[in-house]
Amino acid sequence: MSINKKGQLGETITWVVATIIIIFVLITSIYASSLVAKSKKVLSYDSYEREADGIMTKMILSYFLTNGNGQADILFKLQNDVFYGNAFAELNKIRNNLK
Amino acid sequence: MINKKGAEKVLSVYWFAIIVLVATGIFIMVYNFYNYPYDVREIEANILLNNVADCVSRGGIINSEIFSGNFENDFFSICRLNFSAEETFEETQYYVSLNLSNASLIILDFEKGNKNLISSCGLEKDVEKNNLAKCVQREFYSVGSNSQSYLIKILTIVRKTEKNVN
Repeated sequence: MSINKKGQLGETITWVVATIIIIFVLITSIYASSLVAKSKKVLSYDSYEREADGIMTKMILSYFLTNGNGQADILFKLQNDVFYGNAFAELNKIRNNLK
Repeated sequence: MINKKGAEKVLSVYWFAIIVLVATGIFIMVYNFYNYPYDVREIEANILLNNVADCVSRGGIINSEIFSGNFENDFFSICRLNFSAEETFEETQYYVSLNLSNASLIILDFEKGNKNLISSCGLEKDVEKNNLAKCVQREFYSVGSNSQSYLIKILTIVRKTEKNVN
């Protein structure tokens, strides 16, 4: 009788612990899903790699349309600004095409 | 024997309860994820900036309408922009400022939209980022008909917090 009772108690404890673990995993997953939604659902130009940049293209075209100081100013800006593409690769490509 | 059958019944009820629990958990996870809106304000501000840039300068050459004197007043019709947002918003949710200068001479400097949004810019580090309006500022050179280069500075701001952040 005593052994049977002890066995039942052990089994019950096993199920209770299992239930607690399942609930804990579920709560963690629910919390993680809300965190992922918050961080992954913010879209910006930095979220993915881009090769084209309209502003950069405009500047490069302006570079070839002007001369003297204007060209130097544009080149300085192309060197120092951050673009979503490789400004100098694009500049050299157009320069080679014009040769 | 009877005891064993009873225990099996209790166990199957327990399993059923666990399945319901897990299913509810998965439902909450999926609901949580898909109920959270995509925050596209920064991309929207970039698109607005690109549209203004295209309106001001095409192919590296400045739009001649800028020098007509009516560009500021006819900005929305020339650039084909519309700042009206969904009915849920009472105030204008957009802001654009445009500055065009040649060397040290300012040729054009005006702003359109909700000026109150400017206060959000530069505060990203101090206040919780998501609740602020998104600001995008870029500057570039463009050439006028006289081959002179002009520096164009554009600042665009998009608020629409309620639609993009929970």
